[in-house]
This record gives sequence, C-alpha cells and structure tokens, in this order.
Amino acid sequence: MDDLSSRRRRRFRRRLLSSKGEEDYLSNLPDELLSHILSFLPTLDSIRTSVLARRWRHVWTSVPVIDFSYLQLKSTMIKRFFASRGDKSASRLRLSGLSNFDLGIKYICPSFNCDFDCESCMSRDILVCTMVDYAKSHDARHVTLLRLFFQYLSDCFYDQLFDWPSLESLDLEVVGCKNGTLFNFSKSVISLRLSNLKTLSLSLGQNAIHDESLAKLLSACPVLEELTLSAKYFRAAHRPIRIEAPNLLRLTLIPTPSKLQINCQKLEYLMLKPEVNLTHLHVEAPCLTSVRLYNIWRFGTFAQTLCDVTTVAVTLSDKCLSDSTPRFLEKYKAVVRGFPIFRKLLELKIKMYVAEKFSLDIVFDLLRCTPNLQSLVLTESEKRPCDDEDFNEWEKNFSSRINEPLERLERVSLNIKSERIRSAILKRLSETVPVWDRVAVTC
Amino acid sequence: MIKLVSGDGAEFEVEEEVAFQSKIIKDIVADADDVIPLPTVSSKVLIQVIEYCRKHAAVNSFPLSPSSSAAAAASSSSSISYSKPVSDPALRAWDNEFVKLNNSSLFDIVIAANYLDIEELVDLVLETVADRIKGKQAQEIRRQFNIENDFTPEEEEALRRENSWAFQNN
Repeated sequence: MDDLSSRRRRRFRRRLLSSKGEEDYLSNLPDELLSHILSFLPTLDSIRTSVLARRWRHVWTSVPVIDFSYLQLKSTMIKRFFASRGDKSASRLRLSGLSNFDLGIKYICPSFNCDFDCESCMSRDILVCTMVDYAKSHDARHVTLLRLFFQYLSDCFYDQLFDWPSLESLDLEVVGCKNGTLFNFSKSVISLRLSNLKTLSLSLGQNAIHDESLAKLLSACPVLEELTLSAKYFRAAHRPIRIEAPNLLRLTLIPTPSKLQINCQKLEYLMLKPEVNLTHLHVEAPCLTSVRLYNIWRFGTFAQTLCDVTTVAVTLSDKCLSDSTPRFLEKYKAVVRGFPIFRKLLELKIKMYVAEKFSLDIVFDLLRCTPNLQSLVLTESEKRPCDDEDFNEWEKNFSSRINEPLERLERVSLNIKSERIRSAILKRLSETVPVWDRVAVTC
Repeated sequence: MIKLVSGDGAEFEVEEEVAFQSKIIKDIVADADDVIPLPTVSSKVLIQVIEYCRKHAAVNSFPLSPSSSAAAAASSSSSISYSKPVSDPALRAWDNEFVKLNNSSLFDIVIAANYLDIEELVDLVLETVADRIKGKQAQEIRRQFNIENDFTPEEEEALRRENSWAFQNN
C-alpha cells in the first residue's frame, strides 16, 4: 500500500516538473500548503479546483474551513458534500442563511418582513441546523452564522449552538424580524456550556435580549475575552444591564443600554455608542486603558466613571452638528464642559468634521479636561468633505478663548486635508503648549 | 546580530528581533551558535524574506509605551477574524505591495517561509495565491499557474457531474 502510493507520487512529481514550457509551481507545493490556500476560498471555489488536474482531485476534501456564505444551500448538495468529505475534521464554519438574492428583495420592497417566502427560508434554516450539527460533530472551533432568520430557528438550535464546550469563537447575526426577544434562557432548562469560547459577537438587529439571559450566557463563557453585542434592551427594565466576565479584555456595546453596569476585572478596551441618554453607568474595570466613545453628549456626568483610562477615542461629528438646533448644541457643550478632569489620559484621538466651528470648540473643550495629554490625533470625518467657509467663523472667534496649558504634549497628528485648517489648528494648539518646540507634529 | 547563510553561500547579518520572526531560527539560536546555514534558501529569496521580517519586526516593536500598545489594540478592528490579521493599516498596505510579485517568486517565498516557520508570511502569500484563484474558471486557473490538465475529457466531465452544484453559475 505504502509502496504504491509513493510510486504514484513519484510518477506525478516527475510529470509536473517536466511539463512543457514553464513549471507548475503551485501543484508542486505540499498538500498542507495547497489545503491552506483553499482554506481562504469559499467552499464552492475550493470544490471547483477538483477538476484542475489529478493532483487537485481530492485536495478540497481536507480543507478545514467550510464557507458557504451567500449560497442557497440545498439538501442534495449538503448530502453530496458530507459524503465527499467523509469524517475529515472541520475547524471553521461560515454560513449565511439569506443569500444576496433575498437581500436584493429586501431593498426593492421595504415592507419586507417575516412573512416573506416563509417556506423557503424555513427549509434553508433547517439546512443551516444540519450544517451546524455537522460542524459540531467534526471538531469545528470557529463558527460564523450570518443573516439567520430567527423565527424558524427552533429553540433546540440555540441549545445546540450554546452547548458547545470546544467552540472558541462565535459570530451570530440574526435578521428578518423586529421587536422579538431572543434567547429566553431564563425559562429553558438546558445547560449552556461554552467553556472555551474566547470571542463572541451577537448581532440581533431590532430584537431584544433579556438581561437574565445575557447574564446566563456570560456565565456560561468563563474564558471569554472579546464580546461584541448589538441588540436592543428592554427599556422598561429598571435594572441595569450587567456585563460580568472575569476574563473579558475587549467589550463593544452598540447600541449601549441606558443603564449599564460593567464588572470586568481584566477589561482593557471598551467601545460605547449610546442611542439614548445614559441614566446609569457604572464601570468597574481597573485594567481599562482604552475607550472609544460615540455620541459623547449622551454620557453626561457618567463620563466620570471612565476617568482612569489612558487612551480615549471619540467621534465628535459624523454629520454637521451646526445643522442641529441651538438648544441641542448648548446642551452638548454643557455636557462636555461638565466632564471631569481625565488626569491619567495620555492619548486622545478625535474624529470630527474639521471645518465646523462647533466641533472645533468641542475639541478645545475636551482638551481642558486632559491636563497630562501626551498625544493628540485629529482625523477628518470622511463622510463630510471639508469646507473652508465654516472655518472662518471659528478663526474669528477663537482669540477670546483661553485654554489650560498642556505641559506634557509630545505628539500631534493631524489627518486633515486642508492645509489652511491644519496650520490654524496648530497655531491655536501652540498657544496652549508652553514648550511647543518639543512637540512632534505629523500631518 | 545573527548571521544567515543562503544556499549559494551569501551571508546576511540581521538583528535578533528580525531573525526571530522565524520560529525555527528562534529555536535554533536558543541552543546553538549565531551562524545559521539555510542551504535550501537562495540569496534572492532570503533578501526578500529578510525585508519582510525587518519591516514586521520594526512595526511590532514600535514604541512600546502602555498607551501606544493600548492604542494598537484599540485600532484593530472589532469584527471577528481568525487568522490574526495585521491590524496596522500602514503595515497592511506595505504587505499588499510586498506580494505584488509573479507566481514563481511568490512560491519561492512561501516555500522558504514555510521552512523557516514564519506563520504570518505564509498566510500572507497563500492568501494572495487564493485571491488569484478566487472566482475563476478551471481553464483560467490552469493557464495562470501552468497546471497541466491530466484528466481525459470524459473523466473531467464525470467529475463536474459529480459535484454539478458547485459548477453552476450562481
């Protein structure tokens, strides 16, 4: 047996090397590298390589990545696929429940909702379950499931998904429904076991998650390091949403619930984007160094819970704030002026609409809270091109302003196209820094 | 400094952190001397590999104050990716330029990188090769990589029928 296979290999090596004209470098790569190449491809592309030459006949069957994104699964092909792969292990599974075709319909007809083409969605989602089951029984450790139609996924699907001790990362996106409540684990009796899950991304669209279910889910993931949660929360709930995860390093909550309590002893990075004003924010995260904030006016006095961090990135204005009502703008400024002093803050990154008087005012308001700042990065919002006219007004009014000196500033980086705005901002900055010569400026 | 000797006898002196991008070299140096012969790697390829390692060593060791390492963590995308993507956009752009090479050079590099166990470089090159395969018809792929079709037309047809669902255009 050994003899035969080695003889066969010798034969085809010789042929590949002596092929007319140029050498076939690709086919000469060892099996594991060929399989590695195919693991970057959607599974369909990978299967299509089987007809290239005999060398390629079976390579695809040992590729550990199964990627059926944007494909309408059919039970016949799944059967065929399982048969060809045999019991080779699969480390990653990537599926999307709805194809581009369905999404196309969604855009053409805005009233698209759950009752669209139920039957085909349902049968497809049964296939998704079959694939997940296959992946689970073949050692998959990384699972990405996009655009799943949650209505038709039975509870036992979630049970299957969340009782998976060897799983290391899970990215789950649910679409197609509104105002539902997902994962009602509080009632269910099943055990959730995600003992090795390090990365979890849940995107529930317009659907809500129960705070108890979330707590139960988190307690099932003892080694979780990264959590990205995009969901609605019950507004009526008077209890805050609690995120407690002893090993969590990175946390992203978009949108951010209005009442939030974080207790993560190892957390280093936090991203928050509240869509309603925060009414309760409590962060117990002694290792937190880096925070990214959107809609900072929604933080109000709760910003003080974040004042131990060393790096803050904020997006001030994606759209032109000057278009907002004067009342809103006054409120915005008042909130920022009420910010506490961030004594430990060393690095501040700001993304904004640079030409706008209002944004620039906010920048300098923020700089008042950061007496020990070492590095400042200003980046222009790409969504809105710069317009010099807005800028004139700011230049005119600025001279009346006095900022606290920034004695420790070392680096300034401006990612701004307009040279005029750059130099004006630098000029203003230089007035607030006692030893401006020492500051390294990059544009 | 560590001295690397290519298959054709050329010597290259590189800093430890550059050479240690290769796990194999890191292991060898731990219990041997600092001259490392690499008989299967030509100088042409070794120069390219060193260039890559030098760039990545420099970026990875960029001022390691707590604030900047936190900033690096913050700037990496929050979406889930599995194969440890290069998070620094400038480095990614540099990588993209680096792999703008013809197929035979790419394969020389990947064989060397695989031998030297430089995981990120193997990933980078193989993903580039995958991009050159993606979405193409068999005939195009064969032409591009000089793959000789050793199936008879009947055999190929039978194979296409077997997995016909993968060969429909969708």
